[in-house]
Amino acid sequence: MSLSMMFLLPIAGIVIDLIFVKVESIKKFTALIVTGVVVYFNILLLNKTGLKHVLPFSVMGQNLSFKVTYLNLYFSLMISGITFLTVLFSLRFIVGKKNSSLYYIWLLIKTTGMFGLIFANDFLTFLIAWEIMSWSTFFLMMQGGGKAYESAYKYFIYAITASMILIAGIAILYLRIGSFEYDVIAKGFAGMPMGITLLTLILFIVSFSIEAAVFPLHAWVPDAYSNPFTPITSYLAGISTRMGIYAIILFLFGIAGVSVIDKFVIIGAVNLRYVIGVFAAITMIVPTYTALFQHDAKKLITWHGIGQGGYMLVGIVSGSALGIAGGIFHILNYLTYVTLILFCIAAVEYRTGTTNLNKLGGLIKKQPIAFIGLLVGIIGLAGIPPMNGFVSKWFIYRALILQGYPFLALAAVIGTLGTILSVYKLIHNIFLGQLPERYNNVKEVPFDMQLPIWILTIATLLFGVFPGIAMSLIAKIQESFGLAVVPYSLHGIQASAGQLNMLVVSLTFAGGLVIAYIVYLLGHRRKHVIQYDNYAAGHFLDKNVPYNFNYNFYAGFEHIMEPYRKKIIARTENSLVSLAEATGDYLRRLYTGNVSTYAIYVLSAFVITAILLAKLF
Amino acid sequence: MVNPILLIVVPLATAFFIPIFSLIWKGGSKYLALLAALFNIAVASELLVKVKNGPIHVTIAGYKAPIGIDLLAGHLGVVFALIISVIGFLVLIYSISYIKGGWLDRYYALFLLLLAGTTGMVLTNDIFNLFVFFEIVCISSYILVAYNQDSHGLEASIKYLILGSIGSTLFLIAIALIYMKMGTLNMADISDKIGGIDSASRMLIIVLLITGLGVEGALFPLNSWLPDAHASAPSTISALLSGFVIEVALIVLVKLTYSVFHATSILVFLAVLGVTTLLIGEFAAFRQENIKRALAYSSIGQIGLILFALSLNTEAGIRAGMFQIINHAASKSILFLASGYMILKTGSYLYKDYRGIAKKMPVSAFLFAVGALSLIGVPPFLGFFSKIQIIMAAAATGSVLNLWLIAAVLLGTIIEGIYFLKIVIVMFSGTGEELSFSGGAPFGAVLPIILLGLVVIAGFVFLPYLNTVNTSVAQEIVKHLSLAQLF
Repeated sequence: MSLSMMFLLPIAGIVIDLIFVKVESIKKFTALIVTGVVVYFNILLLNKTGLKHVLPFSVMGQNLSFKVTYLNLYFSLMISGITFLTVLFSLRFIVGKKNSSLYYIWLLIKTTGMFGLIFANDFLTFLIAWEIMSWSTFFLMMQGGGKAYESAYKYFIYAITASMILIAGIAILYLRIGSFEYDVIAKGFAGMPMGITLLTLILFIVSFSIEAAVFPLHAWVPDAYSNPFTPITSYLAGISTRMGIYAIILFLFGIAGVSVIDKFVIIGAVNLRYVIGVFAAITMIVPTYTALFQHDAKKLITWHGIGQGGYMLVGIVSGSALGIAGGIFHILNYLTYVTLILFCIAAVEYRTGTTNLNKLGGLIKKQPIAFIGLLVGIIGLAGIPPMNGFVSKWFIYRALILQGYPFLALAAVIGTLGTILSVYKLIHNIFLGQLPERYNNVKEVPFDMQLPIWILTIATLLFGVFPGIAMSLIAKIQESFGLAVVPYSLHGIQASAGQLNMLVVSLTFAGGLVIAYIVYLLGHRRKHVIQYDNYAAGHFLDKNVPYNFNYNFYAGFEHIMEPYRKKIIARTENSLVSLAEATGDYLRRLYTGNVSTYAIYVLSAFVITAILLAKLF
Repeated sequence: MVNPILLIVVPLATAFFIPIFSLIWKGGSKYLALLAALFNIAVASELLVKVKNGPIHVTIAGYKAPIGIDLLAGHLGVVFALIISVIGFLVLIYSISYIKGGWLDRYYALFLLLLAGTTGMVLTNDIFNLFVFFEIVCISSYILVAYNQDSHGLEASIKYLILGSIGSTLFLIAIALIYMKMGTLNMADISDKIGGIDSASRMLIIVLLITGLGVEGALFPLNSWLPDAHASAPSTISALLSGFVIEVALIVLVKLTYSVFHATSILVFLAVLGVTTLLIGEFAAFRQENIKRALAYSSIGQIGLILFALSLNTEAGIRAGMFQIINHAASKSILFLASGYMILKTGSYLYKDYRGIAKKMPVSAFLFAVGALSLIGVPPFLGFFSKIQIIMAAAATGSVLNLWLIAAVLLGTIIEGIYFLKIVIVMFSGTGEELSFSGGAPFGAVLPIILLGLVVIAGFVFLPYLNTVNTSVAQEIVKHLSLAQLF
């Protein structure tokens, strides 16, 4: 019942929205109610693991089937929660925007697709949901128009390639095992010859890596995510990309099994898992540092979104209970803080109309709620206690060191350094520094837009101080895959691998803050001046001269790094496109338009067919 | 008891009656044509129920085979007759508002001849009758391609005529050889006697049949006429030609290969040929800027996919191929019909001129997207279920060659997705302000597209039923035809 409602409600919402496509208010409140009730039904599912639902609809002898497991509960709770908050936030944000009439419809279709993907119990259902998710994402990305069309098109090319690779993988499994069911495939997987197992693994992982934006398959993400409306950006970056990670977790632990994967050893300790780990490490570093160069807040965060995916992946393939728990936990943490950050950016955009970091500044007093939200969010993103990002990153660092992967751990630390550098740019250029005069009348956003920000701020802090809330579900996920479990308490973990008590850490931090505040109170009194009573680099500042950091933050770093940015991926993409175009042109010329050539084609076809068939007979 | 011969006789008689009728009521020919098509839908759907009890066999003029001529309405024939009459009927509705100029009586008469000919091709059990119906189809389509009487249409028609004649000649030689060697033209009789003749003549007959029927069936490299003909014909005719005419030629070829000549050993050749056709069609469409040429090349690609499925030599493969035929008939008709009014309104064949057309013609543009997505094979549209079934059927054969062919099919699908979505994005982007025309397509033209769109969108609901029907068709094709079973 609850499981069917997870699908029927959004579908009903889609139908109602389609009928009342011209009535804005019905559309948005239908979406709000539907997503809200879905959260309720999702919570009802919590004690119903093992529940199966088989649709009386079969393709190739396979009925579409769904099942509730701990893993998909974990993901579905994230999806339903974040969809509700996104709709709540969009109520005002989307009003009056161009090309937005189908916004809620695509959002609901995409959510339904994601639920289908999460709850699927066989690869056919998985594939159908995967593709529905892909094309609804494509249409969702086109909302907003303009540049969004081009970037959505790029996404579609990547997504259809991913789907085709996935189909190839499923076809091989069907050929060898003769089934689509997860359970049957999991049993038969170990019995396949090594070569075919490796091929299948590569096909599945490459396909999922495109969706999960793992280096070097990430190039579609920044534009495709940052060009649509900001709530879409947060929805896509927050949860959509993570469907790829979900699929990787499911495939590695639920289908293939770690023992099968570890059979593929290249040299010594370098096995297939390690290779994935290296790609994850590059994903942590390269996109994170690319984020430094961005001058658009949305784009900066989408680059981080790619980078953070690397942390999840490296944790998942680390092979230890702590690392896997960290990787899975990081998905939730990332979701809360990245959505929080993007909602705050959207709140600023709602009032100022821009996300260009070179044009903003000094909004701290105008939009204090957004500032607090963003501050909490970036602390989480940078992985600094007491926010939740710290906990999962601590798990991952610790696991990598203990597992004997010092280089991967180093990469994770380097990535974090880049994160701290660039999030400072983000908060500085929006909220600190000078306030441009045109924003003198900016106000805080209305309450219904503040509410999602508050909820996410609290969640980011809550999962940081009491990681046990999430760990209880994560431990069950690990148990359900037959993996070792990290012993946890409400506010930390207690394992032989190390102990973490977030309550102590948080209180220490709070204590530090209190001491700092006392020092501040004891010091000299501040003198308030207007923002132009100041100078920088030998210039007096006025409203036309922003001080040097407000414009082109990290310009020096950019100047140094620019020659090393080879844009290899963009060039590869271009050459593949040119190759396809050249092939198309060449083959098109076979159709010369000259009828005597055509007659020769027919006669030569006759002769060639005769020769070939003579061999076959 | 409904006689399957009505499916052929009624449109044929109506076609001949139309010129006379128009003397009495000028402009009444379209309604007469509509009635004939509607009648065919009714008969075909009734036969679809009846045929469950076994194929319906009709001898003409009382003589029994092999002397007399007979029709064999099995699942294959009836399903195709239904596809033909439904698509024909919907395209006729569209034609009423779309075809304004020219000699209308001739258009509707030839239209019905095309329906009668294709229906005859799938129903007949006599290989010479097959040839006669084949010629009816060819000749009526030569004329219809040039119906607009512009230079492109005439040029395309002549090319089509020349290549079609070569094809017909080869086909005729094959028939002569069959008669010479076996003294019979009845398919069931041939099927019984084929074992008795030497393999060299058998092979020659099959080569002649493949090349002869392959011209109409659009196999590479015999399909060179197709991009010109399908692009220059009126959109209604393109919808027919792409929707079922090439498929009929193909299915007849496959039926002959399986159940008449039992030449399953050549199927691997046809599978490779199918995938080659697919890749060439998709790649050639990749750079097309003329929307109708792109659709025509896409038809070549789809035909390749269908041939690949039909040549898998398994029941699952043929079933999947039939699925794809149904999907292609519906989707490609949508695409051609939807683009018909876009071309008419903008006056341009280049899709880059359709920027923002979704604002002016929302239903057409939306259904164009649906048709395109269905051809690419995206769920929940019908095309996904046919394409995935083809791929899984190919995988289930277990042959390594088929795995490579699957890889090629998947590559073709990526290319297909890229160029179709490019067109869709152009239609949906922009404000539509740069388009000068006002008003979209008339309701009479949108209605058939909507109905076909419903088939594609909600087709998955009827998947179990389609599955049973297609399974029966597949069983029928794989089974050896034999006179003994008929009498």
